[in-house]
Amino acid sequence: MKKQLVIIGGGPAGLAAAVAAYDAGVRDMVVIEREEKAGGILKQCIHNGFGLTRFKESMTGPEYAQRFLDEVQKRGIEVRTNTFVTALSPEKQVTCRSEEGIFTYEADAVILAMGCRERSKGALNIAGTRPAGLYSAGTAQKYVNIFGHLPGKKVVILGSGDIGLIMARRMTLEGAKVECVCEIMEHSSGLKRNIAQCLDDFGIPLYLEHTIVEIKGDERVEGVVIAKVDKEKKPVPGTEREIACDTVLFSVGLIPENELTKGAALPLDPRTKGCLVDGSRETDIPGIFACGNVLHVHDLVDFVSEEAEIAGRAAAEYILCGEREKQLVLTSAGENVAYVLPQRVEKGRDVKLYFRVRSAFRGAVIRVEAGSVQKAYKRIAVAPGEMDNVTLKAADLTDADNIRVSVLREG
Amino acid sequence: MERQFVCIECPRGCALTVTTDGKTVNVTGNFCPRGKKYAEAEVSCPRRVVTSSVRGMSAMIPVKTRGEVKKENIFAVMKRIRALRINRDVALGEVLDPDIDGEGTPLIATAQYHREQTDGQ
Repeated sequence: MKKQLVIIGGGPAGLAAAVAAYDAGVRDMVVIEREEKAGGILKQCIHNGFGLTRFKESMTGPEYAQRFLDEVQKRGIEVRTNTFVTALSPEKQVTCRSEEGIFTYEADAVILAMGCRERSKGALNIAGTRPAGLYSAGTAQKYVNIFGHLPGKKVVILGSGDIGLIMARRMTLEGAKVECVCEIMEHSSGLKRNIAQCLDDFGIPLYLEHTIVEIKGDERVEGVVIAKVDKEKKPVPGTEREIACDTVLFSVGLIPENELTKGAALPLDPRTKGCLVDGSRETDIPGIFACGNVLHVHDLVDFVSEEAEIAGRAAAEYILCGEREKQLVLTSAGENVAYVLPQRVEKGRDVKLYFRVRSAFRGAVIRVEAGSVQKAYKRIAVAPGEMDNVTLKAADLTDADNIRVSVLREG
Repeated sequence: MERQFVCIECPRGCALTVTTDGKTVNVTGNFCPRGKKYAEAEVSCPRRVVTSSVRGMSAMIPVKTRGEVKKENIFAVMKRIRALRINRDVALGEVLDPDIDGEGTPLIATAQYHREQTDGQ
């Protein structure tokens, strides 16, 4: 089957990309969604706080998703639900499986919008048995919010990412006792407001530089042993403490879901765990674009939508105007910067550079070096949990052979 | 008296300081007017939007309070939310309980819901 544009994934990225591609003139397209309904992870994120940047109002996840579902529906864009993509080839063949069987789209362009998955407990190497009661925070979120089941009554949460914090509040509201949240780092990777409204509001303690060293219980979790960690993140002997609980939630990071991407032999960036892209979110294969959490994990859905629109418009341009000769310049992460996205920038176009810092501090200066052009931007505070961005004009890039972003302490 | 808060109005999370001397309330550290309003409410009567889900026939319906409820009423509100049962189609934004906190705050659906819909994902 021929298709001008195939979008893999019907979450916030896929939906926004579809709308943008349609508005840029593409009509022959399909969004492939494995679940019964499109909307992605937003369907289970029933808390508010979404959309403040984009819509200037605080929305819940389902409300934010519905805005885009309405736009998709208004345009009559085909969304194929209950359909699973099993393979993507470098020639842009997208093989799908659904109740109707196995079929393949021959696409002119493909947008990768598969999102991310949770890092599992298995990746952590915690001693102990494998009793019932261990969940990733997102799985527990799905049980509570979608299925209406409370996974446990006495809870310890490992990891203070936003999903863990949100679930601390959610479980508390549903009648569970959340004993504590343990965070191995010196600071939480979650948003400050989530520590305030999800932990402090309910008197839930956050133990920084602490981890779980043992899980107790055979059939069901009966408790955990937590301990303080030293600078090397190794447990400090003598600081162990047992906490009785029947449930442990793991909120220990998100990983872009790139199995299909690897199948297409696209190289991944070891830092972002996503594709290498240019400013239009085009990957190493012309006509394959990537956006949203499959490209790099975002903190805010507002930025996912924005990135997906870039990819959607670029895919439309590729389909309607053909492949474009691009003169690319690499970006690089300087001092205290974990990564910069996009990894390359096209000369002659404006570009917004997204980046994450390595450590949190107050009073920061962002320095951008692009050939003879040097720019500095002040920030009151920076933190690894808060992706930042700066915009460069096409004129800034004329003599640059590399664009370096550094974040320095002020003064 | 001086108190510190983290503003929850947006992802910026401003560090707010509120000084009160009985008559006047002074807020510093806020980036925008919402922070000032939030801090003033925190020292007089803290309020929160409550989000949860309500049991439909065969699936859960996400809900929120339209407006904030008093923080001290959150668990009473949750008790009423848990007792609700919905056996009809619901539109996004539809009021499921006109007064969920006893002070006139409505509870609304944040997604559309069809009676026959399942929680199949």
